[in-house]
Amino acid sequence: MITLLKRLAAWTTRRRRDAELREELAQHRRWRTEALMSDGLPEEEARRQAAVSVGNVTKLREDARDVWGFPSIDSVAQDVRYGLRQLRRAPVFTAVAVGSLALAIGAGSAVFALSRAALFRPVAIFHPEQLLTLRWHATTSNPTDLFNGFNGSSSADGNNISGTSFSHVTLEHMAEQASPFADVGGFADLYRANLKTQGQSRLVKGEMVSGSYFPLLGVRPSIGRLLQPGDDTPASSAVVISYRLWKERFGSDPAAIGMPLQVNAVPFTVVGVTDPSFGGTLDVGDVADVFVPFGARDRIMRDEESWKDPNYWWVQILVRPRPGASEDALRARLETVLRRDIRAVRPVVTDAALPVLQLHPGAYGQPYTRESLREPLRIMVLAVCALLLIACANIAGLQVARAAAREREMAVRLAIGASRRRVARQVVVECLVLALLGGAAGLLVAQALARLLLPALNLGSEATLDLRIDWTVAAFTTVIAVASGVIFGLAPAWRASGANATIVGLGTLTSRGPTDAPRLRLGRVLLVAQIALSLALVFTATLFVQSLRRLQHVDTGFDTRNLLLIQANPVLNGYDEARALSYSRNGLDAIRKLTGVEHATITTHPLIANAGSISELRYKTPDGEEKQEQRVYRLSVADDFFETMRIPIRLGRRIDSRDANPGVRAAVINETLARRAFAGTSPLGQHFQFGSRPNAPVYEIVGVAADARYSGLRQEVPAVAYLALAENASPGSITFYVRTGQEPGRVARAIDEVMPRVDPSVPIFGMRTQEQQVAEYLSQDLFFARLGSVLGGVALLLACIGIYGLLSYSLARRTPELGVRLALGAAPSALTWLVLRESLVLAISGVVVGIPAAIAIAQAARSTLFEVRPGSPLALAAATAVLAGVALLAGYLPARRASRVDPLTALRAE
Amino acid sequence: MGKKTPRQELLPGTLDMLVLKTLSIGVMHGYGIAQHIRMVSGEVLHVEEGSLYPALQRLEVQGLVASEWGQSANNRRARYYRLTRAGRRALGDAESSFDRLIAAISRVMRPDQP
Repeated sequence: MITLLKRLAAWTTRRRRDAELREELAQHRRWRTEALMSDGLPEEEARRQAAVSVGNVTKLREDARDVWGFPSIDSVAQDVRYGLRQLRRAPVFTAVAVGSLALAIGAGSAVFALSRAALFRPVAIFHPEQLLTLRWHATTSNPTDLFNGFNGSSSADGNNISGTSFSHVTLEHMAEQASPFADVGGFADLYRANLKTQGQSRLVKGEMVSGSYFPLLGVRPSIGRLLQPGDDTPASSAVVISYRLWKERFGSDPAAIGMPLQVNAVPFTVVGVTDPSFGGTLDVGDVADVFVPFGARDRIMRDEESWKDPNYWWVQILVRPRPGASEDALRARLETVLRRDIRAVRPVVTDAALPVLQLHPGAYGQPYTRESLREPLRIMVLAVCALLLIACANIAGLQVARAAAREREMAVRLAIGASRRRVARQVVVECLVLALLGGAAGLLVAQALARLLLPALNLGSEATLDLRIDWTVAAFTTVIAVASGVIFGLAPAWRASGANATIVGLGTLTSRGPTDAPRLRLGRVLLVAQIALSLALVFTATLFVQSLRRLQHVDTGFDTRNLLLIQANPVLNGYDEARALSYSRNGLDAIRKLTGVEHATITTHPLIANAGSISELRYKTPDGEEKQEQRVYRLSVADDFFETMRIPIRLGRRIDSRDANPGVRAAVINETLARRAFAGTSPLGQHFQFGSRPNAPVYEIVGVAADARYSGLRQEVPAVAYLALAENASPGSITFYVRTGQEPGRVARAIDEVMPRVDPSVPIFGMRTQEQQVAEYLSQDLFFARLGSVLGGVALLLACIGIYGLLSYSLARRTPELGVRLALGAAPSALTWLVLRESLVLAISGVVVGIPAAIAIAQAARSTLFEVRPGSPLALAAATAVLAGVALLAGYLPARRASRVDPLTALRAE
Repeated sequence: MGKKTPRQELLPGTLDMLVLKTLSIGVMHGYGIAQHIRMVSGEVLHVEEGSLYPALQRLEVQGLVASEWGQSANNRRARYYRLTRAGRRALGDAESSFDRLIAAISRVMRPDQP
């Protein structure tokens, strides 16, 4: 212990001690000299002998230094200082290395932060990993076997359907049945709610929750209280707001408790504010600002559904098992409850059609969204890995080339007594310093990069993700940085420790001979690896660009140019159907009067926006047989729709102003529907209904329209029925579509002014052009095409630098040989070809090695690509050509220098 | 680098013991210690500076000797070493184990002698 303290004390005074030791040794030498002189030696000789006997002062000092202090730390610190000095002396290399590392490591950290934010949301929930959510799976061609109405997320794959919504009675029964083993709570998405507080209206996201929701989650309030089981009645007017809303709208005023607040024109009173980091349990990227009790649902939503209807499935269910409870037993129990509830209202349902229940981790949003995020994240991880490896290979290659100049330095160090291990360690330390510098720079840009990469997740333009760079990201960055440092430090360190001290000496600096060939070979191997990875990236980029181009050229079936769309939701304001329709009419009239407007119409959904309404269509054949057509898209449209969208009519007539009167239920179907349901006969004059209720409205087909896209571009054209708007059963959200003469900008501003005059309490939102809407739909594809191009570009640049560096070095080495060739009569162009050939050989080897990697990355991206085969030979050929071009470009300068070699100077260097 | 004359290698730890013993006589500087050992051993033991100074540092860190700067005979600045109490104790231990060791070695080498 004392020794340790003494060592610490000695280490802190080491500089002084070193000076003292030097002085002591000098004194010793002087005494020795005097002694020798008194023995009769002349002064010069005495001095020399004294110096020789004292010996290797440097090593002595180092040995002495090793006794005090902490030699290992000391020497590492020395290595670090030395390494920094070396890096400062080669600014271009350092800049390229740190820059490419910062980009690669920063991108890696960004992807890590993104994945954490998207897949592992840290929320203010008590032990979120214990929470489970329920998902049902059924095999049936007819979803209405199970329910009449559905609200929430679902997926269908042929006859297999699944969803995460249940009926409210099922929630109650499950809570009862599960109670000894688990706690159960429910919530539902409020979508866009019109929040009015302190005179201002605004659209927010929100949730409807059961009384057991907050106790189940274990969230704490900031002030006031959260919703409790007592609020489960329709009479409750309690509402809880988010911390963010409290800060923005109420200025964090504690007097907000007790204030009135309207949600969709229904009055509530604020009873509490949630914990600052709680954003609800909606999907990834959605933050809920307001929480209302289930009982208020009917008042708020104002549709034809009832919250307690066992046939209406709208509640998402969360379960927290108690300690010791078996998940399997729980699952089976809840499944029994679900099936019993379905049977209670549908006695004729077959056993096979009954759904099975699955438990999923619950605190992280919809399982569908998480699944859809996996592939984009995987693609980005692969791309970042490739980029990192490329950067490492590049730096390693450059280091190896740099080692030529440092061989003398290494040899000298070996000569004065450094061990090989020490020399190698210094190189590794230098590489680690470089890597950590790159990592630090990468951490600085990680957050900005994460924001740039956000569109890859396709969460929509309103998504909010908590992309903060916290200690886990920093730790991850450090790990990658150290790993990279080790990777690109291995090669040069191994080479450095093999430096042979005797070859260098009094000779020339251009080392030739046996130590050289392995270095060149290593450099070549690294370069080939780098080119292979670059090929993979460039290939993938080409695929994404191809995919994007194909998507952009899909025929939408309607004219997307100069088309404005604006959304509004009068129902949120408390309007009933009639008043909402009259608002729509007035709005449409006002818009049509504006200059620059050629046509205008209303639809229930915007097009190419992943939105739509799908139902089952029932009709009778001329022989009286009842038939159904599944998965028919429906769109309610006002008059002038087909003129506004420029969709041609093939048969019969359009929907026009005569259909606005109640009583007449006109519909126009598209060619696909006509072909599917009414092949062989004329659909005109035939009737159909939507859904399974016998008293559903009956529509008459008055025309057949050309096929046009509805919710997206990737799928086939669906069967669509366009219905006259007056008969729309649930108006809700509407979209105004406006065809303008030229630039939509001026008309947009005019609409902005006129709509508040039509009705000041109905906010309009989402004003954009159809082209912008398509771009947003394609945002993920756009993003990947851009990302691929950027990464491909960076990879090509690094490959170019690497090839240039290696060729220059190789040329410098071969200058005497080239001189000999020239002297023997070779043409300069032959020399040029010699260098270029080396470059091409590298490129081709890289391409050959890289093809499997390229195809692997492309396979991983398979489902994101549109109509592009992962093994596309055209893309592969294009990528190869690009790489060959880059190789030629990089080799151009060295090749020219080769042709200019002067045989005399070349041979003189011999 | 000078040529190394083949020398008798000291048993490990012996140098430290020799230095401690030398200092038990009085306070000395490094050169003086080397001279003393050379003279008293009859020119058999030549302590190289490369071993002496690290040994002195080691002993100082272990707390067995202490050093301070002073004036030498001809008014030169020199560093003087002296034995500490712990050093005196350590010297005693080293001496007895050294005696034991030497006796054991001689028993092996000259088994006939008592």
